[in-house]
Amino acid sequence: MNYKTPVAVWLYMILTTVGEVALFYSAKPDTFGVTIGIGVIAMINSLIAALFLMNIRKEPPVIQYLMLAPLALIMVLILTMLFAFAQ
Amino acid sequence: MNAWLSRWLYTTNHKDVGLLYIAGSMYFGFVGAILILLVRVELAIPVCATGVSGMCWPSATQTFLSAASFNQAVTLHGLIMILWFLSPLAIGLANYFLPLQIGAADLALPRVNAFGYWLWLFGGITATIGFFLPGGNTAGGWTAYSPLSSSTFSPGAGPTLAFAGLIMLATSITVGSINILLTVAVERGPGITWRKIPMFSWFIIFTIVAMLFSFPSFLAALLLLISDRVLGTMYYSASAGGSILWDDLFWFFGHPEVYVVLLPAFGLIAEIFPVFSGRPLAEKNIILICTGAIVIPLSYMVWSHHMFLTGVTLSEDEAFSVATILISLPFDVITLAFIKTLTRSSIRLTAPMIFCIGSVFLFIIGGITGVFLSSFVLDVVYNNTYFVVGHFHYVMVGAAIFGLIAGLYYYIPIMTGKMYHEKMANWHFITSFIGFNILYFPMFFLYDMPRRIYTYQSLPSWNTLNLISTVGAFIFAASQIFLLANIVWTLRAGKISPPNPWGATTPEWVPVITGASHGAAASMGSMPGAEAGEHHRHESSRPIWLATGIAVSFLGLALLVYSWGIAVFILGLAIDGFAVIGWMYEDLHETFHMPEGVTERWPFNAIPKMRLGMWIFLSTDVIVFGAILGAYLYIRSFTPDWPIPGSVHEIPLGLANTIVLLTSGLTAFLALESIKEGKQRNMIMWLCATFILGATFLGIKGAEWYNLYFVKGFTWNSSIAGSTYYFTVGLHAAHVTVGLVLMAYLIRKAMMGGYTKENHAGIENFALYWAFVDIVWIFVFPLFYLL
Ligand code: HEM
Ligand SMILES: [Cu+2]
Repeated sequence: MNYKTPVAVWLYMILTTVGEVALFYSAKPDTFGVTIGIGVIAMINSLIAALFLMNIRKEPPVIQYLMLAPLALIMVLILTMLFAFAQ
Repeated sequence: MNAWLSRWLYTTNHKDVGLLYIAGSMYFGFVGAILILLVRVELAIPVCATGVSGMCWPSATQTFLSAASFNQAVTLHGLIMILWFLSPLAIGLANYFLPLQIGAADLALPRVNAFGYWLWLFGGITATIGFFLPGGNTAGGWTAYSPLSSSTFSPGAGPTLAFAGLIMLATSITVGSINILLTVAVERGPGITWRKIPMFSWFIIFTIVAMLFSFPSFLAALLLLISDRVLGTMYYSASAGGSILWDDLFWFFGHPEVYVVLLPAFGLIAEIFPVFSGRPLAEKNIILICTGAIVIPLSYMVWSHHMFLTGVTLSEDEAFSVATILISLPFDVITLAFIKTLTRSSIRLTAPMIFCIGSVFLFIIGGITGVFLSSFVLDVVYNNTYFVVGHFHYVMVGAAIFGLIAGLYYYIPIMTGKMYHEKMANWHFITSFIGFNILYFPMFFLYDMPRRIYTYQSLPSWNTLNLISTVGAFIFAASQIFLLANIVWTLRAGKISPPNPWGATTPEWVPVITGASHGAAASMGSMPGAEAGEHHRHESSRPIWLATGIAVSFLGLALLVYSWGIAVFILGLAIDGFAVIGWMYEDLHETFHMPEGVTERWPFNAIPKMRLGMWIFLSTDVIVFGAILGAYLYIRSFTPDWPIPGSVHEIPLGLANTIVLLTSGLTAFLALESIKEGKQRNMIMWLCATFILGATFLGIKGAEWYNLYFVKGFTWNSSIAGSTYYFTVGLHAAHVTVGLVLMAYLIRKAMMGGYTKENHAGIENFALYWAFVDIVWIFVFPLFYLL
């Protein structure tokens, strides 16, 4: 059985999560760079989990679109909400 | 139990469930009609000016309906008609005929189908209970705008029950959508390639895609609302911009919903026009492309045209105005294609055909008035007036209901085996069409009269138009008696119909495909399932019990204001526990007959049936969590004094819990890898590890909550930060809990040797689910603990 990939993925995610917390403690929490850094880590981790734990990379493209479509739609909704009153 | 009764209560057969939907929707249609007739009586005449008497109400407090009753009646009329009459009528027809059209033996998940029906039915009943409670029902309009829907402005159990009913409805529609989509993907009969799917089924598929991602947003909005009302969270509080939050989440559902209502009718027209005009459907491919590639995706991107006047920025208004005008273009094309089908053809004016022509005609009026509204400049005048009411009734009642009625007449020969009374049906059309236009056309001239007012001062132009409209309402309502009478007459005295009375060519009329039971004779009277093997059952009592449990627990939630509410709530949970265990028992011992599914065809290349189902489910869950996280981001962008990160939550504890959950993701994955190699013992071991880690996660969470709530006084009803934290994390914890229940089942089945190297779909699907729960947490942790 191939333990290597899953364990590597797991280890990577644990380390980066610890990294998130380290980033948080390292600087003044609400600096913009920290927010971006943590956000990017979370996005990469979720992508990795989807690719390697859910194995979406091995599914037919239609499944990939099936998951991307609601993501795209919900982003439209969230951005519309966030910019509803921006001038 | 009585055989007849148990057949209808426990049936999972798609035809039976379809008939149940149709019967149920007619019941609700009746209720909705009564409500609005009361409203129309109230609006027929104004309040008398002082010193005047005659055709007017004596004073504003001495009208036919009180303001409070009026508001409840309009509100429930809208909700019931759209969600418990119109859509379900289409769902009923889809249940019955989509499998026949695509040569499927049944829907992919028959018990889920039955469960969806009962949940829908009980949801509708739950939503109407409020009428009989002291404080009355919800009264803030079918759109339940915030803060009208809050417990401040709509106190009491009645409105809570209405929103609970809506939660049941949204859940029902979501699982139903997953089911039908899955059916189309995996249950098509031999030879039914994508190109051969008939038009009605295509339009049902489009409808489903419009429901799939919109109802979860509604569900999320409602969960937040119920939580606000029952637990006292503050999502829709004014300080956090709550009314716009509701608007966005609601209309993100609400606009696709209008196509959900319309498209099945278009599917029926596309089916019926060719049959009775003797010409193939003109521009079939263009219609399909317009709907599938333009209308459906765009339907998710125009919702803010319901919010032009809410104060959102001009650039958003402009963008949504343009998108709305864009989406009306494909409808022009479709309408023209329908008309083209009729040109130079020899039309047979049967009842289905007349209703279809009426539908297209009325759609044109409704659509054009919609284009007026899509200009946000004109909307300044029209918004919130009877012009809007006129518009949407032309599309919803005119286009959609006329189309669906056409479908009913068209399919009565299959559903009953008999022929309806053509003359009576013609009269039905004539009176409906006249009544309809008398009822709604005056509303376009009432563009200066606000909607949702319970009475008005005498004003010559308003008085006459309103009176005319009320007269029309009674004609229109009375004309439906023709339909009812016709159905009764058909069942009792109708002539036996030949198998294909219209000379149609689509598969539901031509019994060639094996698997599906076809034709007129095999309908209402016969026992479905009798033809199947002895060993497997086609009936199940679990779906109705599960739905009952959910309804009862919601009843308890709404009644928490009384001390015994909690007992009702717990009773509901107990019923659910019983139903879930029973359901799993059926699976464990394979006593329920599940249709097999194949997916070797494009584009689902060999993906197993249940895994595809799980993916579709997860795609809807993306919307639920996305909406909830979006609500959080929106609220944070509005709330200046948010607690400083790290000041409330124990970050080390959160980190530890994240590590626990991530590790459980690894063990779940390893369980799957083990069984792929046939190592059953390893798999059980990894599953148990996953279970323990999941339980640990919940345990730590519980300790955290205890500390936050009781020690730090950080509660869900003391600050908006608390509300968002508890709700989001709680929803995630609920998903973890469901995962634990699933695991208990998997472990039990695994110990019975239920999973092998070749056959381990259950483990695979669970691993998907669990990884998804992990991914959600990957966002929740930083968002709530670190940022
Ligand atoms: C040509 C296509 C259409 C366009 C451009 C259009 C446009 C609009 C616009 C801009 C509004 C908002 C008006 C306002 O509140 O001030 C509206 C309201 C509405 N439309 Fe349409 N519409 C179209 C078709 C439909 C269809 C097909 C249906 C349903 C079958 C529908 C149902 C509704 C409903 C229910 C409302 C009012 C909701 C409420 O506030 O209670 N529309 N439409
Ligand atoms: Cu709309």
